[in-house]
Amino acid sequence: MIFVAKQVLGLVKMKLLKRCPLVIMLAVSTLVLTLTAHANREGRYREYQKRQNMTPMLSAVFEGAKDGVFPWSREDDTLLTMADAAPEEGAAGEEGPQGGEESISEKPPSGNDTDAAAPKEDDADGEGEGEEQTGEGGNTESEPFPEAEETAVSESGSGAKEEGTEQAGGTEPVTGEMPSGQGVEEENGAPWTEEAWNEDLTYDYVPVDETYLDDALFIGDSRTQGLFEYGGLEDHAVFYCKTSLTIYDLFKNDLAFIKTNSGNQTLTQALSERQFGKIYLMLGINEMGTGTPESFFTEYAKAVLKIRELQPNAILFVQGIMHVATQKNAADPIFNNFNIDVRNVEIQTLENKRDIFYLDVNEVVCDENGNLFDDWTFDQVHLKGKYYQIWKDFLLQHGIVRTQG
Amino acid sequence: MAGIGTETLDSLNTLVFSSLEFLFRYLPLFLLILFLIPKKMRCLWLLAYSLLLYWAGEPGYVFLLLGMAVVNFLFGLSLEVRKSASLEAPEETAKGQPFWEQRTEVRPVGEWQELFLRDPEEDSPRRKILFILAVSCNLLLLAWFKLNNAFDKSFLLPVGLSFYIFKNLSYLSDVYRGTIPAEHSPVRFGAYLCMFPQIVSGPIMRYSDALKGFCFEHRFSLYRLESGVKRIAAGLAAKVLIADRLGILWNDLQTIGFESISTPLAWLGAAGYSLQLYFDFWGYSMIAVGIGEMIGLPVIRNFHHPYAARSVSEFYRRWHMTLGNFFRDYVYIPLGGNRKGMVRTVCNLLFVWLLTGLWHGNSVNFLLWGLLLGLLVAAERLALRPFLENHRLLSHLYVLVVLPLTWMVFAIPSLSEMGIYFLRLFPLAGRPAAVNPGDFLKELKIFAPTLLAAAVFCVPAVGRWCERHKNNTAVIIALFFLFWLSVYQMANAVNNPFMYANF
Repeated sequence: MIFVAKQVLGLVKMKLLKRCPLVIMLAVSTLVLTLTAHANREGRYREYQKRQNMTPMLSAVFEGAKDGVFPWSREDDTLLTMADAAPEEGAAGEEGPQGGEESISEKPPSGNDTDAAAPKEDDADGEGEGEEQTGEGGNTESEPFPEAEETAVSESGSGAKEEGTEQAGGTEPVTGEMPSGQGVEEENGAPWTEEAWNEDLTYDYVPVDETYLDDALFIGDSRTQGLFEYGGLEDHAVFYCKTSLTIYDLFKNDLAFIKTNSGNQTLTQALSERQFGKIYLMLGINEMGTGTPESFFTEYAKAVLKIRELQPNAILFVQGIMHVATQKNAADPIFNNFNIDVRNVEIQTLENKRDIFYLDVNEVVCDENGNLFDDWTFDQVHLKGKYYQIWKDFLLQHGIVRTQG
Repeated sequence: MAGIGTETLDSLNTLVFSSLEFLFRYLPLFLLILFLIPKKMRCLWLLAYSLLLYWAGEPGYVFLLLGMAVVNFLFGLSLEVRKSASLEAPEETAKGQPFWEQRTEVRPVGEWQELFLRDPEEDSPRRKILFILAVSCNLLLLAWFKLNNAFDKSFLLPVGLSFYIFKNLSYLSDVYRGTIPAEHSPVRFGAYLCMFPQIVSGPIMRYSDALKGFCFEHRFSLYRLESGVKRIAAGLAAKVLIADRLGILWNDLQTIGFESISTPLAWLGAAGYSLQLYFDFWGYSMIAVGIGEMIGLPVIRNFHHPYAARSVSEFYRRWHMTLGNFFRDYVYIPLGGNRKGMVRTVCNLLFVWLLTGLWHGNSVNFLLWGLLLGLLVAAERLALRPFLENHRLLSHLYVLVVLPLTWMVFAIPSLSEMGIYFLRLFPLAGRPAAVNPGDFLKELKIFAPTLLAAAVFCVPAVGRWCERHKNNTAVIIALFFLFWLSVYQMANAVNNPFMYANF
């Protein structure tokens, strides 16, 4: 002990700051950051669980900063955005921190049980209410969250589960009802379809050439971006895509991801300005770590509805999410083909063979086990440049030509 | 190399310098206890902690490490050049002290040579056989692991094995030659071999250097602490902010597929990869040396602005210098170096470079890479040297064009893929169909700032300026922010599984 005391005393004597300023600056800042993370561990950094025992606590401060959650940002803000998973339409994205919503479900499932379960339930709540019970949703939802979220969470620990099952029951009908709901919208919005509906017309795929895509729009993530860069379609179709785009970015976050000469536009703005004949959509891989298949599909269906509304005359092609390759499929607990197929099955339910068609490019890019051909990809997720041709050819084999009758 | 070795570690990150766990947990804990315990315990602490960290990352192989340490310790003792033929048992010299506290007297190397080169026992067949046996033991172990790995890629090498073996070989050779005394303290020997700052990817510290540090018994010095932290901050920034970022560029190229990259992008990729490799390994080395400095070890230079070299030979005198010196001192010179005529010199060069290639990996491309470098170095020695010496600008240009090309051979394991890449670099066969001519600009837009920063730090004058002004307040503040910026990147990289899948 005396030895320790001597050492410490010795340090102080040596005019520490003058001798080793960087060490002191780093030590003090580490301390401050750790205390900040510790003080807010139940608050604004609740969503940033430690990855493992040895991960330093201050990691949360940096992970939060990436999502726009800062020690000085008002706690209510972040929590409100988290709680209102589906606030009134339009108001959603304006609060900015897109991470707010995403962080809810980004949390690893292996985390602390109650903590991990509770917000997920909230997520489902939000989505469900957005669809069905807009009125009630606001009231019940806003109560537990604005303040004292810590107690709210721990109190509802046991209740949350019951609520959860209820809500799960509540969300499912929504997914089931989507196609019919959308039919209603359509009858109002699209003049030509009325006849089509009446005549019970459906269409079959026919081969087409590239000019077919002259009035086409592609919406998607990095994979669609690859189709743009290497598919040789840049002279024909328009591409609204961005790396790691998610279905939530389209309307819920209202992300201004479309670059135009006059600045960035949101999808709503872009689709209001220009009408397309065909719209191809492939999204869903980036959000697989987020939410549940149900919450994903609810958002997906809403997005398709909204596109339908903005583009009444376009043929919509919803594309199944492209699979990943063997190794990733085997090793990744989240980004695997089983989880992709769960979502694809749901996406396929949107197809009505009249104005919404489901295309699954996996038919031509996967081996007999349903994995993306290993030689066709480097990172197990994206096609290599020259194989985008195959995707393009697949799309051209599946044209829909409808004659209005 | 650095990046490759660390990837095999498990998620505890015990030996990954650029991990939050290491920087904020394992390292401070080590230093704190090191400075609090009595000096004579410090070597033991260094050894124990290193083994603990290794054990946490590679539970099985820690015993291999220990076993090798014991075997080589005994080999060292039996190889030691002595005036009296009889080996003194360590216990006898202990004089009542525990055996790990015995000191080995350090004398200037020259003096030792003087003393022992004339020793009659020097050339005795017993010593020779013993030495050959000791070296073969080490080499066979290395070969066994490398061969297994060659035939079954899922068979992973123990982390840092080749660096570990190389330290052993250099120690044994030095003891055999009598340039250093054999270590009589197993603890100090173990600490030298297993010390965690060097176990993953070197630098391959000579035993004589380690002794300089150990004989101070890790004296605490604020100056060294500060200087070490500065090195760590700078190394971290090089690794995380530059190398890892440029890694995305190379990853992008592979994701696109080499068939579909434009020629300018192929060159950009080669430049990016060359810089990535440099900053990755340089950053690692700086951190390793920084930690060493904090605990009292001498500063070892592993890189010295290699891209400012004016010939390939010079480049490799400035690149991974401890490895280059190892091959020079323990392979090239014993083979006769350049003293036995031109043919022999060229053969020696080619042999050394083939070995260097093999050491880096056992696929064909590494052999090809070693051979290519051997040929280049030999060509420079035979013909190019006068020209390069007289043409300053052209010699720089020569290095900056040729080296990235050799790195491409290093980087691409599959020969067919390598062929495709070189056809994109030199588009003799015309442009394939699925090439997006604008890809170059797209990537440049993303990576220009990083490439520029990397290029600036390759200039020796910039390095000298930083070294000279390292106590300047502005530099200290810059390092402070670079450190936290690196931490920001590290904290978010793990949580972002798609970071490397960005297209």
